[in-house]
Amino acid sequence: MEPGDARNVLTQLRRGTIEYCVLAVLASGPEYAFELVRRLADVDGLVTSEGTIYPLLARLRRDELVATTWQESDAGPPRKYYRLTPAGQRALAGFVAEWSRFRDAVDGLLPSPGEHPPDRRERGGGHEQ
Amino acid sequence: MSSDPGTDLVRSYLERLHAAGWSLPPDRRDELVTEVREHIAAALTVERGRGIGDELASRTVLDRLGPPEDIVRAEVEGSTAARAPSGGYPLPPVGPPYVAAAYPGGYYAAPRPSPWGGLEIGAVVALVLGGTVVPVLGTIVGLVLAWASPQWTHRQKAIATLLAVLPLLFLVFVIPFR
Repeated sequence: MEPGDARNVLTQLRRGTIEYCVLAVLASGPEYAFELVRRLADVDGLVTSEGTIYPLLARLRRDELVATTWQESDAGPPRKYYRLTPAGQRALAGFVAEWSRFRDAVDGLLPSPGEHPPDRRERGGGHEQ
Repeated sequence: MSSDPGTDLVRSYLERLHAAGWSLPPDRRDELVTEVREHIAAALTVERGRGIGDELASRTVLDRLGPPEDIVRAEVEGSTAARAPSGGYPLPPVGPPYVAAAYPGGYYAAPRPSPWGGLEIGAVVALVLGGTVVPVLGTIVGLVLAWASPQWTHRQKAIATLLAVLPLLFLVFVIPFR
């Protein structure tokens, strides 16, 4: 393995999870497009270029995981808001379950930076208790 | 026309985006440019609120947006950033091969291979020969090739089978009774 591989893995992970991150942001309520993009872009290392989120949003719209509505705005012309559809909620719920399992499994194996691997006997895991 | 460098930067960015999107369906291209234009307007408002000058604000906002070509590539490929298909293959350029024609699943899907590969042409040739010069054997070979094709749908294969088999039925059932 090359030292660069970890970065590649992270890159793949970001790309694989970003659409669920969009759904997760929308789970707390509809968002104006610009706010949504900024919220995602502010998450460290999630997106390299903000503009590429717009094609992602279009794809989610096309897959009917999100829907858009226009709302009046006092700040100027009507704004496009994105919201989660029921299908989007289901997709997000499915991902959250899978992600939690995966994350816990990997975390259980990985040492914290600088530490030894966790003692197998100490880490019982939820189902063994 | 404005001599404001910030506005010029934004205009030329949007022109680049429009140009890079030449292969997209016109409606989607216009929609994408509109979405990005609105983003820029909202972002500039934020920057102005911080007291940042127009040109610096424009550069910052456009920098964060990223190159127009990357945005179009994300549109074409359905990914959020330039991505190799697997393990470091070089990306194909956003150019003529990615014509946004009526691909099943829309232009976000990867271009489908043509339904006419060597196998399919061989199938048709064999079926035609099977209907004329080399009956039965040609038909059988043609049908085997047709069903082996990864490109044709089941419906297409069923139609081909029906068309191939009907004349054979005629030969087998009608002719002996003349």
